[in-house]
Parts: sequence; structure tokens; C-alpha cells
Amino acid sequence: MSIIQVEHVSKVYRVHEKPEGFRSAMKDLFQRRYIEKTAVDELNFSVEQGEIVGLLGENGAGKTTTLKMLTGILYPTAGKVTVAGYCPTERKKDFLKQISFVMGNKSDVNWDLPAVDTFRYQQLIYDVPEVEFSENVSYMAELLEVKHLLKTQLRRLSLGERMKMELINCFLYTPKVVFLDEPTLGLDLRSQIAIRTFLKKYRNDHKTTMMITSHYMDDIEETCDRVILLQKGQKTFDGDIAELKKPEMSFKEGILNLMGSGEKQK
Amino acid sequence: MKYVKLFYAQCKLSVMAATMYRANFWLMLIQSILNTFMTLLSVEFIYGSVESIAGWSKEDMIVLICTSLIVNQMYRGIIHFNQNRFVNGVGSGGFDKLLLRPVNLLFQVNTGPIHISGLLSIIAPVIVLLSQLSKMSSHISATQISLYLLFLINGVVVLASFMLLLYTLAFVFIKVDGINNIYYLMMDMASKPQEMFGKECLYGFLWVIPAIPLANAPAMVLLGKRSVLPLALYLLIGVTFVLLSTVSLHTGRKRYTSASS
Amino acid sequence: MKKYLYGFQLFFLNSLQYRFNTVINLFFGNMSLLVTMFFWVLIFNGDFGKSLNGFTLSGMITYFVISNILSKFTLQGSGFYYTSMVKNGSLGSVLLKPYRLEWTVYFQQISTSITGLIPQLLFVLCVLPFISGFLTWNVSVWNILSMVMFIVIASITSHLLWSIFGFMAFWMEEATAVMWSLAVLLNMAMGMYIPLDFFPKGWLSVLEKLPFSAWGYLPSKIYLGLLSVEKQLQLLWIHLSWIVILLLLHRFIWKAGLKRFSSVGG
Repeated sequence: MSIIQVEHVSKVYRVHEKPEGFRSAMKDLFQRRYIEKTAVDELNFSVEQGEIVGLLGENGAGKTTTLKMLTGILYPTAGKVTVAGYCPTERKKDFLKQISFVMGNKSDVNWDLPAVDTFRYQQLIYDVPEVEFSENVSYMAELLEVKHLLKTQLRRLSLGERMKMELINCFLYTPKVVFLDEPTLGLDLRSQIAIRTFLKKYRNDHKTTMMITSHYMDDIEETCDRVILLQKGQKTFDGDIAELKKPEMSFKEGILNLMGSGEKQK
Repeated sequence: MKYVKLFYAQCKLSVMAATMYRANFWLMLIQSILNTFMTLLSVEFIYGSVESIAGWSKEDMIVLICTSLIVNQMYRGIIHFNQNRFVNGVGSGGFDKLLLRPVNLLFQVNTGPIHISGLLSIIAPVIVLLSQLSKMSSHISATQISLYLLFLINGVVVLASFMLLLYTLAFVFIKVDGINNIYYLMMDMASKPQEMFGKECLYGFLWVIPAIPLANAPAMVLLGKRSVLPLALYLLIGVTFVLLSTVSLHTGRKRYTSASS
Repeated sequence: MKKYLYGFQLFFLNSLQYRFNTVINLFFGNMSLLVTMFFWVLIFNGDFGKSLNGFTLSGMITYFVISNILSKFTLQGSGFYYTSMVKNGSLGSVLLKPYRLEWTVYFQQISTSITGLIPQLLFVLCVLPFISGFLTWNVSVWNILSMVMFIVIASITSHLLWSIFGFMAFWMEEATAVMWSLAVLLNMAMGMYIPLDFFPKGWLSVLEKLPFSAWGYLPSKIYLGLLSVEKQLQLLWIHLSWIVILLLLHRFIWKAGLKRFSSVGG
């Protein structure tokens, strides 16, 4: 059975239409207009254990919304989501201990303290045994080359180093399924490469399932086995990454080509 | 047990983070002393012109004010800061992180980093209260002190769950920082004798805006003042608001839209 | 002038976007006034004939209504604005803009005050039918003119003084804690907790000459007709001189702070 199953999932947001100008603002104070915005529309896919799947699409295509429904942060408006055999929105403790969500723009590590102190707190939250904790921290810190920085106050680290600490924090309890939303956002090339290498090695060692969204095509090309393309909330492509790597065009051109044909289909 | 450990770890982390800025740590302590000092100075000046206020002598009033300050600072130091983080998180998407952790949601919303300045602010009113008690020690029994502590904690629980109940409106209206005004108002009312509310409004300030259980209830127990209402009622109010806020939090979560990244 | 006023309009519109918050602010942001009112009724034991330090019950309640409204013109926000800009480094980008910062901040803060004042006045209007019996209606043209003068002076001196406090951030990492302590002290010194007449003898003659007394105490006393014209004129000169003194101090500390800001790099 697939570790992630998404069946006919949709998400509709009700958005307040904000008017322009002073007079309209006054009118809006008493009478408000709302519009419905479909972020995800009838989505279907499944992911197998150990697979790394790239979720691609332009801004507003529904990538992050999909990840948030898979992690139980958002309730789907319609459809059914199953991750590791659980319904995510029920927030069962056993489920939450098996997943992790790395958000490129939202850090969970305390800025005023050395990263290792936050890791200790994470250990307590996820009931990680001491031996496993030490092994995991040491394994990941070595892989990401940040062992010497574990006791430095976080705000004194560079963006890349902070992201690496965030990764250690999110992988500390050996989750089965990891969702990564723009994990290399704003990072320099060296850090990007280090993170990609880490993700590949980690998957090989632990058979972890991962879903990644990124606007850097190199992230997807180098780490993913499979790609799902979303356009205006709908799936327009779902296939092996090898299908997009053709001798006559680069991976990026392949994606752009797909986006173009997806638009035409719609 | 896990939650006690988590709470302890959070306290430790917050103290460690606060001590990184040593100067600020001391300034916060000075601020708390000033705050208490100014409030008590006002009482001193007012009682320079009157003998008693609705049967509350200067000493009684000091006990009431110190109690309200203690309840307020306990809430501010441990809970309010985190409830505000929750409200901001609902607007900015930071609430996502709480939903991902295998920890009770109510616990996470109410606890987290400790606001050290709030907690430090307890020191000054506690010292004043203790010195006041030492003067009155012959009239106060151990039962009264135990009951005082019980009602003090009940006051914090009432305040925290009432505020959370209101803050869960963030799931609907997103920006609800105006609700902080209700908190300030509650604390303002809590530091005044309950006689101020009049018999007609008494139940409103117990069940609608529960200001009386916060400081009046513990202070009355300690001072041996006769309570118009059965004492168990104050505890019942605490339980009711805890239940209401829990239901509201879980119902509100279904409406959560999580700000886009 | 136009750009300053436009800034004011934007700020005002922003406040109207969230109507729930606006309504809550309207009702609960000002209700402490009623608490104070009922507390003084309790202190006076409901006796309208009684006098405490020259104040009757209705005089006392009027004092708090007026001083509460006028305290909105105490531009505390100027100080916190500078502290946050220095702390988060955004001061650098603001300095590049083609306007005089101190006046932009002044107008921005005045707009916040007026936005705060509108709900407060609305609230007072709503409760007026119930509390009018508790109030003193002692209006003369001279008193109103004199009050307005003191309010303008108060807005300028408070803006300058709080900005100076805000400049502490150039030298201190966490200036906000000091500022909150000062706020408590100044609230006492401006007669927000109790009228300065309740202070021990001798304190009043000093406090009324300091800039803070104009932020609440003096205009309220003028309204109540408890300050002779001669005394008002004498104090007016003193408070006008405070503007000059604070303006010079403001310029001097700002320049010194900027030097420090550019050398440290924010």
C-alpha cells in the first residue's frame, strides 16, 4: 500500500475582496464581499515508501496548500488524504511522530540559543531516546558539515547554516515521511548542493519518503525520482523524472514545455 | 509527566535566552519594581484623603492590588505571551508548527517561551504582600493561606481560558489584537473591590467578563471577608471556561487557512 | 505637506480593514474609563457634595474623562518607532527617503492618535447619556483656546522627548525595557493615575513645570476652571521653552546616534 494517498482532494478558500480608496473602505466596514478561490482542484496521486517526489508549479499553483493538507495543517474542502495510514487532520500522536515538515521560510529553532539546545527540546517533544539522539545529531551534523557550529548562538550563523540546523531539527526523530517546502530558498550554491546531497544520502540510508517543492529546478532534478506538476490547482503531469530528461532539451526546458502544454490543455 | 518536563525545559530555555542580554534582564526587574511602586504610591496618596473605600482599609486594598498584580504577572509571564504568539501565528501561518508537533494543542497554545519580564514582575508584589501578611499574621490561618493559593491559581486559570476563548476568534477574524484591551480592562477591574460592580452586575462580572474570580476571590479568602457567593462557584467558573476554550480551539482549527508562504 | 497627509490616510485605511478589531477597540479600548469612574464613585462614597483636594466627585470624573482623551496626544509611539527601526535595521532604508524623518514620524504618530481618538470620542458619545450627570460642564472660550494650546504643545514635547528616549537604541541593544519603565513614571507624573494635587505638598509646584504635566493634568485642570488665567500664562511660557530645549536636545542626540549607527552598521 502507498504511504501517501490523495483521492479527489480539493481546497477552496473564501477570500475577502478588499476595495480600493477611502470611501469603499468605509462602505466595506459594514458590507463585505467575499470570493471563493480554488487552490487545489480534484487532486489524485499516491507516493510509495522511499520515493522522493518533486511538486512543481508556479506561484499560487497549490503546492504549499497540498503539503499543508498532507501534514494535517489544513482540512481539505473535499476528498480524502491518507499519510502513513492516518488521516492527517486527526493529529494522532503516532502520526505526528512519523512526519516532518521543513519550511524554508519558517524556522523552528530558537535564535537566541545554540542549536543544540533546541535539539534537546525537540528530543523531549518527540520522545527520542538518548542514544538515538546523539547518533542522529552527530550523523547529520557531519553530513551537513556543521558539527563545529552546534554550540554557536543561532543568530550568529549564516542563512545556509541556519537552514542546515533546521534540517537537523526536522530529521532528529527519524521521520518516515518528510515534506520540504522550498528547502533551499535564498541559499548560496554551496549550501544548496550540501542540502541536496544530504537529502539523497538520508533517503538512501533510511528509506525515507520525501515530497519537495522548489523553484530551483536543480533541487528537483538532482534529488527527485518523480515529478508532479500542478497548474492552477490541477495536476497536469505525473511521471518519472527520466521522462523529462531528454537529449534534445534540458530538464528546465522540459518543465517549461510541460507547463506550456498544460496551459493549452486547460 | 512529559508535559511537566516540557514546561520545565521551556522555562530553562527562556531563562537561558534572556540571560544572553544581561542588561535587559536587570532593567526588566527594575521595571517591575517601578510598576508595583507606582500603583502602591497611588493607593497611598488616595488613602491620604480617605479612611476606607467600601469597607476596604488601606491594608486590605494593598492585599487586593498585590493579588491582582500576581495573577496578572503569572498570566503575562507564562501564558499571555504564548497566546499572543498563537494569535499572530494564525494570521501569519506560524500556527502550522504547533499543529505538526505530537503535543496537546491546548498545552502548546498556552505555554512556550516564558516572558521573563512578566515573571520577574511577580517579585515586587509578592514581597509587598508578604510584608503585609507578616503584619497581619496573627489573624491568618494556614487554611486561609492554602485557600488563597488555590483561588490564586484558579484566578490565573479563569483569566487564561477566558482570554483563549476570545483569542480563538482569530480563526474567523484573523486580526484580533483589540482583544488585548479586554485583558487590560479585566485586570483593571480585578484590582478594584467587587463592591464597585453593584449587586445588579455581579453575575455579569462572574460569567460574562469574569473579573471578580481573578483577585477579589483570593483576597477575600485571605482577609477573611465574608463572600456573598459560595466559594465553590469561583472554581466552577474556572472549569467552565477551560472547557469552553478547549471546544473553541478545536472548532476554530477547522477554519484555519494557514497564510501562504 | 501632501505626502505627510497621504501617509495619514493610508494608516487610517489600514485600521479600517479589520472591522472586528475596530469594533472591539471601540468598546473595550476605552471602557477602563468607566472602571476609573466607578472606582472614584466608590472612593467618594457616592457623595456629590464632598471635596477631596479641591475636587468634587463630578470634577474628578470630568478630570479623568478629559485627561484620558487628551493623553492620546502624548506621542509615546515615536520612541518605540525609532527603537524598532534601529533594532531591525530598517532605519537605513528610511534615511534614504526624501523627507524629514522627525516630521514624518510626528504626522504618523498624530494619525495613530487621531485614529485612536475617534473610537474614544465615539465611546464617550455612546455613554454620555448615562454619565452626563457625573460630569462638570464648565466651558469658556478662553479655557478651550488655552486647552488647545497646551494640547499642541503636549503633542510636540511628547514626540520630541519620546523620540529622544527612542534614540537610546543607538547605544543599547534592548532599549524598550527602559522605555516601558519611563512610561510608568511619566504616566504618574502626567497625572494619569491620580491628579497631581493628591501628591504630597511641594511636589505639585515642581511637577507642573515639567513637560509631562501638559500631557494630561494641566489641560484637564484648565477645563475644570481650577487654574487662574495668570497661572495658565505663566505655565504656557515655561512649556513653550520646553519645546526649544527638547528640539535642541533632539537634534544633538539624533546626530550623535546616527554617527554610531553608521559606524556599527545597524
